[in-house]
Amino acid sequence: MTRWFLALFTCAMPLAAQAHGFAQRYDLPVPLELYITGAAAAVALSFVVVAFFVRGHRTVEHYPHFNMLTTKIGRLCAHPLLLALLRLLGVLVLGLVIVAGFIGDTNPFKNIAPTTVWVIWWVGLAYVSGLLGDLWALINPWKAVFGFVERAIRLIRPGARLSLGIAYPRWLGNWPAVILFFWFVWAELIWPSSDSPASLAQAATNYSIITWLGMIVFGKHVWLRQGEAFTLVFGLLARFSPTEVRITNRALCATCSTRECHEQRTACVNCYECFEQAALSEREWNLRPWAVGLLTDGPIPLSRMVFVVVMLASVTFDGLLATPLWGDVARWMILSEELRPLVLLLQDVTGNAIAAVSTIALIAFVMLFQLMFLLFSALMRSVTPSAARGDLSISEIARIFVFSLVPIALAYHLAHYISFLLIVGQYMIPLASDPFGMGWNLFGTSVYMVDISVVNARFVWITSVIAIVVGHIIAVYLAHVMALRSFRHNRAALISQIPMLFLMVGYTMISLWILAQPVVETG
Amino acid sequence: MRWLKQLPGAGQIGAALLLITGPLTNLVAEPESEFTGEVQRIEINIKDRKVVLDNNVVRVTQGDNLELVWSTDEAVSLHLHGYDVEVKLEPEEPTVMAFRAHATGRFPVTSHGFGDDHHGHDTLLYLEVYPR
Repeated sequence: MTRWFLALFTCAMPLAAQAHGFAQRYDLPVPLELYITGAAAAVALSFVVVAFFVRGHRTVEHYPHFNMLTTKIGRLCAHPLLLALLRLLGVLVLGLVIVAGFIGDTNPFKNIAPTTVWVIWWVGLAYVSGLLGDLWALINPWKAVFGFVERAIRLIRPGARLSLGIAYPRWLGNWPAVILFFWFVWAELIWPSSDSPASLAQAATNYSIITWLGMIVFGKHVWLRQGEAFTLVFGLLARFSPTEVRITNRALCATCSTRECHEQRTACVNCYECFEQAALSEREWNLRPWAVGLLTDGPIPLSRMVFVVVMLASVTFDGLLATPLWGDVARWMILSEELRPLVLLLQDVTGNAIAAVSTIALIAFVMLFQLMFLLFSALMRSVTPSAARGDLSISEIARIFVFSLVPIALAYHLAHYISFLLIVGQYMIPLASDPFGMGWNLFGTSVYMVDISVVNARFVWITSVIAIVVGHIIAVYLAHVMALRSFRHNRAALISQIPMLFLMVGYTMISLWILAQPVVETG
Repeated sequence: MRWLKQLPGAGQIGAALLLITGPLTNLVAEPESEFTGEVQRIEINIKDRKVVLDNNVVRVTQGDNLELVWSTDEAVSLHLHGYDVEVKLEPEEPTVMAFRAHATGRFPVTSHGFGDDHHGHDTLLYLEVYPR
């Protein structure tokens, strides 16, 4: 007897152990020919970039940019009313996730919380940040609520501040954000309850409390810059994007609570504290070439480099978790006598044995990634003549060049999630009509069924491989520009890039290799 | 507004109709598709809670009309993800999953509740639908 489940109301996907937070991916592995073509193109085009610099190309400090606020459409898009509406939307979505999570259906496909968090916000906003601009800086609900309450208090008591204004310890740097982001990555990739609406709502509540406490203690902008993991991660991705905000009043920049702002050599870019303070006539909302935001003025703080490494490593780790190789490694780890005490210990905290070994593997992978990067930074230092590099240490070199790896990770992220976003994102259609799983039909779409054929595998393959090759080329290009800025002689700069080129080719090959692996579920 | 066309789950209903009315509907339903796939009949035998296949993968081409004929030595429910097809199998009673492979991708078939074990949830095999 055959039973056909039309699954109109049930969305009969079972609650299985799944990678990245929620739902399944149905990606076909990239075929071997395409994988090899992509790899060959990445290597060949790397040499084209190198040749371009060998022929004596010098970089300029100022990149072209165009202020969109000088156009009617630009001013319309940045209209205060529209921005206020977007902020309100951000707050409403956070509220919806928490309320739906706590009172809605416990089935992740009948509750709007998991799809909103994992698909629309996490994956979707990463696309927007990388390809368009830092939307999160605008819609961040924690920032909006804090700002609103502060303004309300000032209406009653003029000049009052919501924050205690305690000086942020310098040594603390971005470490709170590193820890919070690691916690988030763990929740996304490993946490067995990541698809449970109530658990997600609880996590969102906890994170809200931490964020508001941070803002109250240290001030809104200080915490956003230093401790708010998502401001950092979306801001990092948005460095690749073709839009920026900047202010033309340099004197204002010198009064910013962020020290880095004073140190910016060329312009005051993407400092939202300065932007908020600046008069309308001093504000710019610019179009710029892609990826130029990743070129920094000098070494970034150590904690920020670690943050970037956690981001880069976790993106790759996400892909590795769905490969058959990980299945073998996980099996070996679970059976290993040496690891058993650690696994048993972690098992109680993480939920189960597979989560325990995944946690160990995630920590090990982040550390391995960091070590590899430091190793290649050391190689870069050792091949560069000391006359050219001055007294740059290994750590400083690592802290200069780490941003150049971002395009490779971003490209991999875009490739990895195309079909997931387009297929699983469709759950928002029925969920919008029935966000709590209570049988509502607000927009008449509650019976919509996900169409798994919206995106063809061939399209995904080709887009993925092109994205990865382009990301690689941009990374190689950026690293060369950084080298030219950091080392005194052109020749030395070019030599310094030989180890970096190997690292980047290796990193890109891993991305391509993961895409060529069949997706399997371990758990 | 492509999704509006899909609203009632046209693919699934089409497949269900196909199963009920047989080859006649098949002829009528086919012209609306861009591919005229072949009928692929694939027999899959579950033994000791496993299938005997290379890499546990069944490869087909987009547009093929599939008839997956399942037989088992133990009662079990199967779920083909993505296409969202469920069947209940009984021993000695071959059961057919019939549908058109309209979407590309790699879709797991999971088993639920072998015998009395209601907690089991394992991937039996993957159906890989390659683009034409």
